[in-house]
Amino acid sequence: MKRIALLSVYCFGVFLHVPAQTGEKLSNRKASHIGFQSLNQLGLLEGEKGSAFQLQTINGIKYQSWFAGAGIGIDYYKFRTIPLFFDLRKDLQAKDRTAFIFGDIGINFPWVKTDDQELWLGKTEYSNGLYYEMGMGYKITIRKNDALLLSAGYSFKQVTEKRYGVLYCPFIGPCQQGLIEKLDYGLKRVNFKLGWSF
Amino acid sequence: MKKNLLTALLPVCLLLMVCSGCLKDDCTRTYKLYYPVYKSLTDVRKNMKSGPAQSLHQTGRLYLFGKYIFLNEPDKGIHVIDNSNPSIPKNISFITIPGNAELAVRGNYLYADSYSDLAVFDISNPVNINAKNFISNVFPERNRFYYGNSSNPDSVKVVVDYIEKDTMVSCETMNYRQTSCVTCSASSGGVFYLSNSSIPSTQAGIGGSMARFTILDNYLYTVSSSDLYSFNLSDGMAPQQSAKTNLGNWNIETIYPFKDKLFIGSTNGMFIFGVTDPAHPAQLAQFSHVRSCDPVIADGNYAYVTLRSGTTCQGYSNQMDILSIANLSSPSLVKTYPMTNPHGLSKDGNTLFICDGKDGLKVFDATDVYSVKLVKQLSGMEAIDVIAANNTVMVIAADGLYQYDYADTSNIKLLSKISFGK
Repeated sequence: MKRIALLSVYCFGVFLHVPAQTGEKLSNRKASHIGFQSLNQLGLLEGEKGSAFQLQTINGIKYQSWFAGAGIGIDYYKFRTIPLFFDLRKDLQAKDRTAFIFGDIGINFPWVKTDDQELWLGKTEYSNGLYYEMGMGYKITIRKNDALLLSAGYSFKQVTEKRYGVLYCPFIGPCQQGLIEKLDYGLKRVNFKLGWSF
Repeated sequence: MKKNLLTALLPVCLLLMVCSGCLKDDCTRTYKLYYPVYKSLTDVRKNMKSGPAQSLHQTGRLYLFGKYIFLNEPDKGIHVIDNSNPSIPKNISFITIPGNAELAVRGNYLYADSYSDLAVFDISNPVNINAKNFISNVFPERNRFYYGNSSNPDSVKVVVDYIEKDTMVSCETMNYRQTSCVTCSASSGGVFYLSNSSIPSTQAGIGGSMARFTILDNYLYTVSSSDLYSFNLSDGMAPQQSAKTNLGNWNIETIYPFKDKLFIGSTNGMFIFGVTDPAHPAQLAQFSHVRSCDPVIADGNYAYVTLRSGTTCQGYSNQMDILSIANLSSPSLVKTYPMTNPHGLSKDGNTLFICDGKDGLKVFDATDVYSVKLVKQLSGMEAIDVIAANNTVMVIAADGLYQYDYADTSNIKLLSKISFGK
């Protein structure tokens, strides 16, 4: 966590010290308008459990250099889950090519709620957990409303797994079933995303 | 400058990539650990006596004897219920029997297993039920505490309870079924009245179709997963084992008496044993079926077998098979009726009762075995086993003991329910 925080500070520094850009000022022209914007991203997640893909679509309102919206995605890291989240982001410069920072917070829903097959004589239940993500990126405006997004950041998702099965079996008579164990996962990943906004 | 921004992102990405190797996922595993509490077998046996009534908690074996219902609380003991008025059954006592699963009653004696021991209780004195005799390690497949040559009850240690502790560890700490306690027994004690009963001392009660203990005339017959045991009850207080017959099958489940026959259910077939020589039952016939759990009952010419699927039974069949046993040496299938998840069954005259799992209790008119008709379905419970006698049907279900009046099968009425406590 400390390393990630330090890295974030470093990245902020890098972008904040970049002098003002020159260019066509497409961004300036539309910056003061309130308008709908859709961000669609494909990402690579890297963590202790290896690599996995994620897909996201975030839709919301853009105002000046700010954007706020709601997002939904698919996250394949360890468990296939559906994060549903609130997204807030800010362009650091009013330029066609600008760095931005973003943060997401929401709930992570498991794709599969119960799995009867995983355990012999039992089942596994998965439940919702916290989801958040933060990072920074670079936006390249291609046309008036279209832009390419490159970003990197830190992402966290929580999943709770409850395993039910045979608690004990008398020699004669039915086995008693119940909750065997509960596993609480807090999965930490870095992510690299490529996206398109319009 | 554009170049500067992009070139600034590159090291960031590289750094993040390197950092990803430093990230460690959190994972905690929460479960219960059970620490066993031991007592000497002598102390355990001293505590096998009647005490105050306890609430019912778990589905166990059901046994009817005269006006009394004996209901096993698995591994803990037996509830005694005064059923003089089935509309107002009274839970009057609890007999503590650690490791108890099965029971049968004859005259003034209750026979119950306690792990691998057979315990005999004198139930004639209503206020002082005590264990009168123990036959040690007579069911060796249920042995939990006899090791080597240990047979002195003072030196044999028995697990009587477990202390529960919530435990949380890292997921990397391996967990090998810590929640599985060998047996979770508790202690308590019970009281009831039989002394004014007019029941003859040799009359036995009625067990459910899923029982592993049954009494036929002067003998107690029990089945383990592979063997049939015979005990002579000439001296009710001191049963003598007369035979142990290997059934050549490791999946024996139930035993049911009818006239001079024993019907034994296994997960892959039904056995019929004759008791011409009651001390040494002899196999007369076997009928094989697909792998399923299968209690069996019989009347004059037919045997009724329910087959069900399930986690412990395996198999995929859920049905009732009616077999002709007119020729005992060669039972033959008469007809198969589809069911949902049938468990225990009972028959009184032409009325057939089947516990069909979550579908509840189904009541059939079985006058014509080729055309068995459903006349009533009592839903709202997960029915496990049933005993029908004298127009009262007792159903042990997943949530309690139900009793219905079936004098008029078209208008079956709920008489009472004793719910399981939490």
